[in-house]
Amino acid sequence: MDDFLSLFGVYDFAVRDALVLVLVSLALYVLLSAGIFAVPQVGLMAIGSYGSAILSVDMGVPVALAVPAAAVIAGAVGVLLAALVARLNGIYLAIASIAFSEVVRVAVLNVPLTGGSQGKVGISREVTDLWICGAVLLATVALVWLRRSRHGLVISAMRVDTLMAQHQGINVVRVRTLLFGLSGLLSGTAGALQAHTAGFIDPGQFNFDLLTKLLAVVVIGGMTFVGGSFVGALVIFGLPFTLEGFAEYQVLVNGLIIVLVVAFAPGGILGVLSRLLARLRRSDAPGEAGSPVVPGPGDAPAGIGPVALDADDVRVTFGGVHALDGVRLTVGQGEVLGVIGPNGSGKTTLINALSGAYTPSSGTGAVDGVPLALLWGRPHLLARAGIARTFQTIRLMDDKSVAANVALGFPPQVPRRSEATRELLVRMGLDQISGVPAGELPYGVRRQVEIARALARNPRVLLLDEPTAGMSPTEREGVFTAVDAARRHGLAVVLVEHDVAMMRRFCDRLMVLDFGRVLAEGSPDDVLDSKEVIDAYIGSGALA
Amino acid sequence: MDFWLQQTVNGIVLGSVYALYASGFGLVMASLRIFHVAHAAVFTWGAVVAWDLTTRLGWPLVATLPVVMLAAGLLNVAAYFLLIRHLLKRQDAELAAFISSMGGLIILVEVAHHLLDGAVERMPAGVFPVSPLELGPVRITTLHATMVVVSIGLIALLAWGMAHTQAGREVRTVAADRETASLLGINVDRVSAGVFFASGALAGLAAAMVATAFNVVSADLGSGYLVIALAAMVVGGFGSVAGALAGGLLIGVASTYATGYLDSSYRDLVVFALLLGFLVVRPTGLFHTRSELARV
Repeated sequence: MDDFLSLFGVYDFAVRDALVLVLVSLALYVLLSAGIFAVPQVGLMAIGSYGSAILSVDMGVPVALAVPAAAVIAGAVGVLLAALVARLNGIYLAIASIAFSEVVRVAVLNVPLTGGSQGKVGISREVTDLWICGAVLLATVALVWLRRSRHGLVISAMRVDTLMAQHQGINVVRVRTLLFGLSGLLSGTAGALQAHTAGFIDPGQFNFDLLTKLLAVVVIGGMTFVGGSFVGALVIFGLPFTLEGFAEYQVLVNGLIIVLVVAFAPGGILGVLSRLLARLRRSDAPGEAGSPVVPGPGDAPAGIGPVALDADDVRVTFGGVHALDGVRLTVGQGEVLGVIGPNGSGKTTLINALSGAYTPSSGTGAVDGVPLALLWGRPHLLARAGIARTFQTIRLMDDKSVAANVALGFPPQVPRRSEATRELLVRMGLDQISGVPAGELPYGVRRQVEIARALARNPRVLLLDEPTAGMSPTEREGVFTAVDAARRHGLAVVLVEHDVAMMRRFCDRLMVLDFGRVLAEGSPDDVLDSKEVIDAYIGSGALA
Repeated sequence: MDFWLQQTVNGIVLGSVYALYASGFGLVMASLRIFHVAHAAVFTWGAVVAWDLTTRLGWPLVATLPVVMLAAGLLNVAAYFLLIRHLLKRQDAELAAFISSMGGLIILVEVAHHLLDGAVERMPAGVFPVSPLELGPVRITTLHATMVVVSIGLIALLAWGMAHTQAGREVRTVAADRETASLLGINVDRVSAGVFFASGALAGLAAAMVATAFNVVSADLGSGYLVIALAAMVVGGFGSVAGALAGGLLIGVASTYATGYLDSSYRDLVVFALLLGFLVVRPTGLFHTRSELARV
C-alpha cells in the first residue's frame, strides 16, 4: 500500500520523480498564469529539500512535521522574494528570479550545514507514495478551486492587463506577493518530498537545466491550465519510455517541441483542445446578435445631489511639461461633467490622474469623503473609494465571456456575484450575449461591456475617456443612453468627448481645458459661446 | 600590495571578456526587450567553430576570429528569424520570446553536445603565442593582454557606433519604440537582424578567446557564463554599452578578489549576490539609460 506506485514496475522511481516535478510545474503555473514573468521555483524547491533534510536529520524533527515546515519556509522565502523584487517587472523580474535560484544553488554548495557539493545523505525515506499522490491531488484541487473562484478571474485579469486589473480595485502587488508565497509552498513541498523519497539530495540538480525542463512541461501542456502540468509531464517524461532509442534525442526533441508550441500553439496542448471544444460548442449555440440598449427602469431624474468628487490644484508634470497645471474639478451626484479641450490639453491626463494611472505631484480634495491625498497614484484604492473608469482604447479580457468581464468589476464582498452580474447585464441589455467572448464583439458593444464592468462596482464617480470615439451614430446613442441611465441612479459622471454638439445637449456642466489649465467652466451654452473657448479651438490671431 | 595589483589585473582580463559577452547580450535585450537566453548557445558555438578550425584545419587563432564572428553572428540572425521575430507582436511577447529562445538554447546546446560527443575538448597548443610580460610587479601573458585590448577596443567601437552613426541612431530609435521607428521609415527587421548579428559576433569572439585562455571547449561553455553575463549587464545598466564594460570589469575584479582573498567557491556567490543586490536596490544599474522602469 505504501509504495503502490511500484505497480509501474521498474519505472516506479521515474513515476515518483515525475509526480514531484508536476508539483513544481504547478508552482510555475501559479505565477505564469497570472502573467508574472518569474521563475524562482528551482531555488524554492532547493530550500524545501534542504529545509526538510536539515530539520529531520540535524534537528531530529519527525518527517511528518519537517515536510510541511520546509514547505512553509519555502513559501515564506517566496513572499520575502516578492517583497524584494516588488519594483521589478518583465525581463528584470525574470532575471532577478533566475539570479535568486542561482544564489540558492551556489549557497547550498558552500554552506557546511547542507553538505556542500557532496550533497546531503542519510535522509529518512519515510515518505510514501500516498504522501506524494496526496500532495499532488491536494495542490490540484486547491488550484482548480482557486481558478473557479473570483480569484481565478483576478489572476486572469492580471495576466491579460495589469493596469486594467488595478482599476478594478485589485491590489496587484498584494496578489503577486501571495502567489509567490503559494508558488514557494508548492515548490518547497515538492523539494521536501523528493528529498525524503530519494534519501539523499544531489545539489547539482537544482540548476538551469531543471528550470528548462519544468518550463517545457508547463509550456507544452498549456501554462494557463492547471491540467497543463500533467499533460506536459506526460509528454516530457512519458515519451522516452514509449519510444525505443529515443532517450538520446529526448532533450533535442524537447527543445524543438518548445519552439514549435510557442510558435504555433501558444496555449499549449490544452489551449488547442479547449479552443476546438469552444468552436464545437459555439456552432450549436443560439445566435449572438448585437443587443439594443435598454435604458434602466424609468426613474424620475433625481436632480444634482451633493458633491461626489472634489479635486483641487491637481498638477501632473512629465519632465518639464505641465500636463495638468492646477486643475480644480467638482462633480455632484447625478451630474454629468463634460471635459473638452484641444488635443494635448490634458483631458486624458486628468482622467488618468483621477483614476490613479498617473501620480499627481500635488492635489487635494476628496472622493465620497475619502481624502484624495491618501489615494493618488494607487488605482486599486481609488477604485475601492468609488471611482470607476473606462479606457480610451477598450481594455477587456478578450478571451473571457461578457459575463466574466463584467463579473470582474464586482468587489469581492458582493454576495451572489453571478446573479448580480446577470441583473446588471439585463439592465444594460447585454444578457443575450453574456456567454460570448468579449473579443468577438463589435466595437460599440465592447464599450457597453466596459461601461457595465465599471458600473458593477456601484461606484460614486464614473470617468469616461472618449467613450464614443470612432462609433456610428446609433452606437453613440446607445452609449449615451447607458450613461444617462447611470446618472439617473445618482452617479457622478466625468465625460471626456470631442463631439461638441452631443456634449452641449447631454452634459449638465462643461469644463474646457487648455494647456493643462481650466479655461472655462459653466453651463454648456455659456461655455461653448464664450470668446476664450472659441479662441482656444480656432485661434484668435486668425482673423486679426 | 603586489598581490592586490595582480588580482586586479587578472580581474580586468576576466572582466573584459565578460563585458564582451554582456554587451552583445545587453544590446539585444535593450533594443528588443527580449531575454534571449539562446545567446549562451551562440557563445558555445563560437567556441566550437574556433576549436574546429584550429584543430582540424590547423589555423592560428587570429585567422579564425573573423570566421568565428561571422558564423556566430549569422547563427544569431537565424535565431532571430526562427525563434523571436514571429512572437514580437504578441501580447505576452516577453514571456513567449524568452521561452522560445530557451527552446533554441536547448537545441543548440544539445547539437553541440552530440557533436563533441559530450567531451570537454582542448584548444591545440600553440594556437596563440603565449609569452609572459612583466609590467612592474604584475605579470600578464600576451594572450591576456590581447584579450583586454581587443575587448575594450571593440566595446569602445560599439559605444561610439551606437552614439554617432546612422545605424546606431536607428537601433536606439527601435529600442525606444518599435512601432514609431517603423513609421519613421526604419526597416525594423533589418535593424533587428543587424543587432542580432553584432550581438552574436561579439559573443563568438568572446567565446573563442575564453576557449583559448581557459583551454576548454564544451557544450555547456556558454550556459556556464550566462548568469555572469547577466550580472555584468544588470550591474552596468541595461542597454548601455559603456555600462556593460563597467559591469563586466566590476564583476571580473570582484570575482578574482573573491577567489584570491576568500575561496574560489565564493566566487559565484559574490557575483550572484551583486546581481541580486543591484536588481533589488538599483535595477537601473550604474549607467542607466532608461528612466522608465515598468511599474506594477
